[in-house]
Amino acid sequence: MTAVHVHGVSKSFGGRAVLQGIELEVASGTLVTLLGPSGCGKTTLLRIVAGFEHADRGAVRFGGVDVAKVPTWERGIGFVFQNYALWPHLTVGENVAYGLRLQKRPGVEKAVQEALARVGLAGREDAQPGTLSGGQQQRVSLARALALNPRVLLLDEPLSNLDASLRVEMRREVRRLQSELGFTALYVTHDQDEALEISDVIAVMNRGVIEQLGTPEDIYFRPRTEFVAAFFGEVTFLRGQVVAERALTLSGGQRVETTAPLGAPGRSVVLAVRPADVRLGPATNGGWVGTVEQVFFLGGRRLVRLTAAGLTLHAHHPVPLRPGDQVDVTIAQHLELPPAT
Amino acid sequence: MSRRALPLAVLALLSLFILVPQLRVLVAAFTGPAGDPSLAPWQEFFGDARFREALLHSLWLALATGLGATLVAVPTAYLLARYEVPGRAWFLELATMTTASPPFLGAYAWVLLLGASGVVMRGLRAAGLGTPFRSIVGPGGIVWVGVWFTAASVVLILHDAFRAGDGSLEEAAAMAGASRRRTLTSITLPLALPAIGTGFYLAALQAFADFGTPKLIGGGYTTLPVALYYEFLSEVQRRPAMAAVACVLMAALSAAGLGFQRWLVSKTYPQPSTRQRVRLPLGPLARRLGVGFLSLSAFLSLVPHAVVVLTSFMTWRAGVLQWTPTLENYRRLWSESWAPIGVSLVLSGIGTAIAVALGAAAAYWIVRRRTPLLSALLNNLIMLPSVIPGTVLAIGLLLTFGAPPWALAGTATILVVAYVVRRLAYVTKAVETAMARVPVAQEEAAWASGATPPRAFFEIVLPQVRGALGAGAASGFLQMMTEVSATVMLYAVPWVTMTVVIFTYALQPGSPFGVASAMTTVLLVCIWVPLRLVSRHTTAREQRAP
Repeated sequence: MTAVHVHGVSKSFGGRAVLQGIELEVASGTLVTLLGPSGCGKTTLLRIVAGFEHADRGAVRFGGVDVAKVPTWERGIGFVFQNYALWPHLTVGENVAYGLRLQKRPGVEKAVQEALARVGLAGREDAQPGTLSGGQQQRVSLARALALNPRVLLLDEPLSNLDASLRVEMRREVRRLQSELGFTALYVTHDQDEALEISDVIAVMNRGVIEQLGTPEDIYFRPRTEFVAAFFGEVTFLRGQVVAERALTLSGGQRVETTAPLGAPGRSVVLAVRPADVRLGPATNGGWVGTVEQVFFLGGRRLVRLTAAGLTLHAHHPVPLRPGDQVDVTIAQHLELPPAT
Repeated sequence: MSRRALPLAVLALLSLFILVPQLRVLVAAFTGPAGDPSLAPWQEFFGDARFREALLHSLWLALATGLGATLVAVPTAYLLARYEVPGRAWFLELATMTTASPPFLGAYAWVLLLGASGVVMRGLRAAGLGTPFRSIVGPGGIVWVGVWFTAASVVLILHDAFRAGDGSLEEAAAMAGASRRRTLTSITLPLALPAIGTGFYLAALQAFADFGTPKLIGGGYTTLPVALYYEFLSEVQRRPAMAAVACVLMAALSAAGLGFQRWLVSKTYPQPSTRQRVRLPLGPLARRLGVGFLSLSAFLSLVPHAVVVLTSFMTWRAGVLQWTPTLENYRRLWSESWAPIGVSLVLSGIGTAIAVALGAAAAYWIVRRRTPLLSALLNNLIMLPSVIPGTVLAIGLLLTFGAPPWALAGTATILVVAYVVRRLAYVTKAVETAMARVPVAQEEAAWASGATPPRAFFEIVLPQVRGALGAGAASGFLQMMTEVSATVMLYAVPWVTMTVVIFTYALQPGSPFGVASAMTTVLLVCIWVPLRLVSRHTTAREQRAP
């Protein structure tokens, strides 16, 4: 069942189009992520769903009902903010209880205890929000939103104020809660790893439009545009013509061998190549020769930046190389992008 | 849309009481005797030597007072902000107390001391010593009183400016080889220049717009507000157009001063501030000199208060002080003049309540800018009276609401309106700063939790700005309690305030000065109590904050 349906939503601020004809369905019980660089419109879309902003055109439907005339406080949503937005003059317990009291639900105290226990903060009702760490504050914020049993939970970059290791821990926590409680969620982030790890569906956004909508695997392995492909790591695009089953000629004339077949010769193709797809070997005569520019030690592996035929490529490589070294480049794997429409 | 209905209603109300009266004044200044549009009032104004003189006098007083207050305040604030001076906190507390004095207090007290028949002058003559001057009454007296009255506020502003930053800029200058003096003149003072300019502007504006001090101690030295008072209230030859021209001139000159101050403030450079600035120790001699200087300026600022409190417990006979302690003044105050105390408390109380309610709502609309045009209009409207001298404001109100159908002249209503209009800007600004620190997301979180916007305002936003609201209310209240320049234009029996009584007594030789002193003492208590409550509250809050 569709919990939230965004239909043809457009929005501009001061003449600048921020969203253009967005179509999105969030199925009940799933977590959908809006992923994109800052300024792509993802937060605006989330805020329109929340009712904080209003769409210029198009409609937002909750369970099939247009909510254009329904204000935020009657939409039955939960919202988790980037900066937590806990109320500093209330205790942790009062923060969680606030919305429950407004709904005049019985058993508020018990519901607060349960909500805090779910996020690992049992017994912290009387703490002042300011005395908690950032991670704990975001847990309270999550408990506050979930306690209301919202029709859809909206999360606006909830983890970007946390440090790196806590961010990883918290996104697993969000995923765990989501699969346990089965709530519907729309999640905004600019962090591709976060999106891949927690989402059922990812909508990659760029300049006010959804570039691609799909499962994390779809998005990662079958990117439909250069933008989507480039969003996941150091990607190099090889543009050229297929000249043999496993070879193409780049527009500059350089012949490049690939391990995977390329199909019928004569075709124009755009290949996306990620660092893991590039193999480096000792320079030989006749191969595609690159020059090492810089080597970054990343712990478990090394990332090598090299130039070859005027292109910058990145490759994972197990053994040390030095800037200036000449290497042979082969393409072990590649993604082929569909022709631009 | 309904969410704009309330702010629009407030905007309309404020326009009626702030904008319309000032437009009335503006129109009157360009209206000839036959009611036709005309420049005649201006020709008449500048053709009249008395007015030209009043204008020059006012400008001279403003510049002299501004300069004097700045010269006193810069070293005072610098010492307190940068050096370990014994009794530092105490000096700052005294400065805060001084800023809350009634504006005419200094004039009243200094005349009691150094007027032709003042206590000190009589004492000197009785001791067979000559007096250095006949009387403090005159332009010099106005500047003297003005400097000590305004210096305290300038000290507080400059203290904050000299505390800003963590001192790394001065350390960098020292490392580059600059001497202490060189660092002071090339780094510290230039950085503080916008604040010094602001202090100068505030002191000058206060002197320019002040009605009470020149009236009491000027000895016939005409200034614009005084000329305006006579021109407008004279029974013999009432020329509202003249008064209107003077009003427009005063408002325009104040606005020009504000423009200058804004320009200076735009030159403020942010200073690195990663840690608290450390106060430097003083050598033994510098320490003695410093404390001596601070004590002298604190003493001169507080002389008026001491004089008033002391003389309220002394016997007066035919306007001459006898050194016999008594409670007679308070007994007389209680039996004859208790009504003005009630009037002042009630009118200021109502005014404060209205100003706080309007100020909190306006601050919210201004800070949140949900409808930018409305926020801008509201902000400008509320700020407008802060450059309009009280006398001018009162004339606008009288021109607009004095006659039927409003017929508000002499009513309690018009006094309350004047108080609210004059002080709304201060309350609003105090609340605005605090409100801007409440993130919008906190309100949105309340909406998402099911709270309507009014509910979120009262339950989430307001509780977090309580301190600022209290501070704004206290400062608004004490300014209303001590208001003179608009009150003397607007009041009528029975709505006689304490300030009016003190002011009238102070003007007439042979008045019951003892009762006036007693009433001033009561007034001081009325304003120090809320002031203490606020400063205690804010200190407690600051200590609780992590």
